[in-house]
Amino acid sequence: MTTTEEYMQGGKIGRVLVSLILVSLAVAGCMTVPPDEDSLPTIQPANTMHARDLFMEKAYPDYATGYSVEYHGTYKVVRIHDPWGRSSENHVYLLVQRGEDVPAGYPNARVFYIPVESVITLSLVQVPYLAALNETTSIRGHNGIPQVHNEAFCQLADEGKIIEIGSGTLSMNNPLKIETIIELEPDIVFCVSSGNREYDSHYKMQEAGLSPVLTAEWMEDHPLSRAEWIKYYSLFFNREEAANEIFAQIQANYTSIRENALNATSRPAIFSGIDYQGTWYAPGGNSYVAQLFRDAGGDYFLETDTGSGDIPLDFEMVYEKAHDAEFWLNIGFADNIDELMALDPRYRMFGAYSSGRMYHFNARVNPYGGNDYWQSGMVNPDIILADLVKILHPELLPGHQLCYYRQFSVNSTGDPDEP
Amino acid sequence: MSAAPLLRCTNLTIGYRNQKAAIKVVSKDLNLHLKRGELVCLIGPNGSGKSTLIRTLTGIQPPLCGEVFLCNRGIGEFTPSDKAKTLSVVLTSQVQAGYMTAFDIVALGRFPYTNWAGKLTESDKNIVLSALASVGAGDLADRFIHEMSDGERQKVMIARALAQEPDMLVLDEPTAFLDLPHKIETMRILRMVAQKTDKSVLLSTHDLNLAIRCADQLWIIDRSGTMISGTPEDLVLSGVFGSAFEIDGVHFDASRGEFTIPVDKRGTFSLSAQDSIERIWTSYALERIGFVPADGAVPDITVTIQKDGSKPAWTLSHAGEEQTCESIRNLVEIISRTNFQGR
Amino acid sequence: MNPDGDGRGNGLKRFAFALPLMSGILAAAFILDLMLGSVNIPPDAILTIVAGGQVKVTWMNIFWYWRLPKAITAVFAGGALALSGLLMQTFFRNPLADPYILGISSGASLGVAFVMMSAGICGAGALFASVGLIGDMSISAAAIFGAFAILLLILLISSKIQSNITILILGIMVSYISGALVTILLQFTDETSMHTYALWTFGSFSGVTWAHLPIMAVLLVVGFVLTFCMVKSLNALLLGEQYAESMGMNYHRIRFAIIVTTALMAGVVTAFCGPIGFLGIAVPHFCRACFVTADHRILVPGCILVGAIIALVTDIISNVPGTDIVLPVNAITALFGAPVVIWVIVRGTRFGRGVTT
Repeated sequence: MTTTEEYMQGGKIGRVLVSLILVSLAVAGCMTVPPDEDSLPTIQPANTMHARDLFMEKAYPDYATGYSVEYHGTYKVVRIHDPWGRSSENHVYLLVQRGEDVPAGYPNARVFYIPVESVITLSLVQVPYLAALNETTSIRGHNGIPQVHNEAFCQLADEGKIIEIGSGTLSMNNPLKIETIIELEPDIVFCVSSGNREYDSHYKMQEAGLSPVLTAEWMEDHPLSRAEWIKYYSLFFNREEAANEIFAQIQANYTSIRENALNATSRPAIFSGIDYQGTWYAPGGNSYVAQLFRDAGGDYFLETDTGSGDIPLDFEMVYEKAHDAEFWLNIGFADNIDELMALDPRYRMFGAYSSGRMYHFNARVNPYGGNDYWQSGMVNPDIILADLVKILHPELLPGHQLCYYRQFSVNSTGDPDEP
Repeated sequence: MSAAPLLRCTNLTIGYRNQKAAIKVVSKDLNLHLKRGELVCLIGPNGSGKSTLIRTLTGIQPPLCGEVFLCNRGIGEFTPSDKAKTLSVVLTSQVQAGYMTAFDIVALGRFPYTNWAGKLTESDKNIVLSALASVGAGDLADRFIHEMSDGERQKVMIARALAQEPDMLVLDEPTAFLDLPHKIETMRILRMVAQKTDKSVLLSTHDLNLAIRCADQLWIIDRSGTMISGTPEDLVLSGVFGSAFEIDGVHFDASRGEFTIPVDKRGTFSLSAQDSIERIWTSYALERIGFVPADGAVPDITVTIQKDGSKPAWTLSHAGEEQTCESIRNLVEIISRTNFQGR
Repeated sequence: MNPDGDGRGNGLKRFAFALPLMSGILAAAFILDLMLGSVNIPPDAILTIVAGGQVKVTWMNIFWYWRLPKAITAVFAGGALALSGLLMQTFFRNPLADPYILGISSGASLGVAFVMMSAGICGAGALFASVGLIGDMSISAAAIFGAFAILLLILLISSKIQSNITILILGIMVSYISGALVTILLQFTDETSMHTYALWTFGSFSGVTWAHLPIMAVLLVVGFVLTFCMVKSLNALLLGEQYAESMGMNYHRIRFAIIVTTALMAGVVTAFCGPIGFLGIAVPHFCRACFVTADHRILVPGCILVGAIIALVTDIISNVPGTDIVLPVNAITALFGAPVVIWVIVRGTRFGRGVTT
């Protein structure tokens, strides 16, 4: 008999019971849907003139789109936009100078007193920004100490001044040692949004009575936008002056290198990514990586693509398109030619293999797998660009030494053409 | 043809060891034999050890003690292939195999004789067809087995066992799921197989009535594991048959050769009629409603049967009154209405 | 099929007619798989290449180094999976059995997961720590090793246990345990390795290069031959173990052979192509219905042919010819196989009404 028949024959009490259970399940389901946060309050006019303006230096994002800031004399209003575009996940932070009153009119904002003195970082990419601002000493705990490159940080960790509060890997699902974090009594905890509310650490932090602050620099599509988040971090320490200076320098360097590259006589063809079981994963045409290639004066093989993440392609198609591309950059999965060959002998058919022009950003990888390209590289896009220009147009930057990138080492016979 | 028994066991003790190596003896000191052309029925209540005995005799299970000889060789000495050529089985459970025709199933019986791919030679095919014919299933050859009735399916399984050309057939409750006509037909086929082809047949069954009539030998195991064997008639005459099976309220009627259902006695009767079929069935009816023959004493009722031409008529006389009935039903109704005191 | 119960079981005759037809379809599917792909190579160019002529270098390379090994892999893998499924369905007399029911693919997955992720766990795995893979061959080797370990476990258990159902349940439990261990490994690994592992579970015929193909082909052909040798016993098993033994079949030897052969074929395919599902469960039913027989002398070659054809068709679809998109093989096989499984359950096919013990 079918389910409905069984249900109807179940007897009155049985039906009532089943219906109750179904209703409870439905209610429970509804309760897990997060309540829609009230929409953001109407934007206050920026920079309302106040009697006292405690913030002499102000830093505004010109390139970065992930956050915005307003200065109001004794406090700053920071709005951070959900990287996944969910309006219910936009956050408003009120950064109030210590000793000042918390302003009214921001019902959903979280309040932080600045300048902060002690922070916890949950992600590797957050450390270089703090390091660039010389605020490494404010870090009390970190998730994944072994992978960090920064020397000052490592020194402090060795001295026991920075405590491991995670399991030391980059996975977002890893349990954090919440009790240790609470014990360290940080002013704020820098978190990352995972896109899945259940896994987000910042909600857990809130429940534990801590002060989580989201960062989303890694969602920016342009290298300069990513670097500009140094200004965001500076807001919490009242270090806007340093941030502005540093970023101005980066911007100037980047722009000049880029213009230099644009004047180059050739635009070599580049392809990127690697195959896995017949599917080739390459950065999309609008991704951060593709931007760098373009700015370095290269012709990326996925020029027309609009994706900003990795896109899956068919291996044969990539071969057809890129078999005579001059450069193979950002390879992944292998450290050197021998490993590459072991993965798939068909890589040999790419022109870039025969000419040996294969480069990957694994020049600065520590024994625990921490790659500095993803750390200090975030605040040094100009150096990354310089590396790329050096690779693509060596004549333009004769004095520059490759920093994050290295050429795939040849195999034991010393001859890259050896099959 | 040798009169030596095909299957023989000496001082056999059957049972099994459970995991703790404790021994459970089901039956011991068995000395049985089965000759060519003999049909033996193994009967006994559930749980008495019929299956254990069959498994031990066919070599599937080792005996605890004693030996089993098949064709004068110890059964453990047979290779699977040789044993398959000597002994084949029919089990109770219904085979569920889709998309197989009766021919395919019976052809599987040629397993011990065909080559590695199971290819059937002309002679194999003929054997298959004649096996089907001998069980009366010749026209089922091209039909799918899952589309057959239980009776037809069982015939096919017996044909398969025959196609294996064994010297002995062992059947485990082959008539369990069949209706009466098919039960009888199955027994008939088995009897014919035993007699005409000189094969031995061993079957276990619950059908006592059929067993008594069809078997050359009966092996009876009772609940305690004691085994009695002999020809059915000898066993009935010695009273063993009845005592092995009687439980409260069930009685074996030796003269009729069947179990009867006892009824509360209501009275005695005297039947006066010619020896005829009507006389027999009238006395059955009277017994069913609780009357026993008066045997000399004054009966409570007297029934007379008269036959005018082809139509019989019953006259019931009781306490001086007489009534005529047209049928036994009539007779029974009238008697039932009347009040009798039991004696 | 004869829904009217007319039941003409002329299996061999039907097969003799169907065999050339099936072979023709196989050839056609093979050629189609060679012709279709994300790069548009015109048919006349293909002909030129096959004839040994010269066309664009990239096209020639694509044909010889991508399309051809992929098509051959699909043929062998499809046949092997279908055949393992047939073996498991006959052995367990269960219409829902598939090649992985003994936990073979779980064992392979565990091996693969271990190799992929151990690099991320031990800090001492210095050089490879930033890299998820050590080398493609070691992934296949790890998968075979994992499958083999499970095989040994199952054989050990089955030597102590009589009942088939017990072995079946133990196989399923082993799958769960392997799955649990994989989950634990996933918990402690980094995003890249997790991603790579997920990609592996998608299944693919494209990952097998000329270097690996001979090994895979030889091992699978061994599996095919072993199965062929067992047709008689497989037919006997259709009646159940007790009948089969009474007919002279050595049950323990055949059981051993079936388990080993299945593990070999399913393990090798999983090792080289990832865990590809549904072909093993659906194709035997398809064959039974097509050829209207349960005779393994017909089903064994039939399953190889039909399995190969379906795998080729799956490959063609998954490469979505004309576009850049690649769909995971497992998704396509599920889309094909699930309706067949539903049909089996709902119609209570002629293979047997429901599960038999």
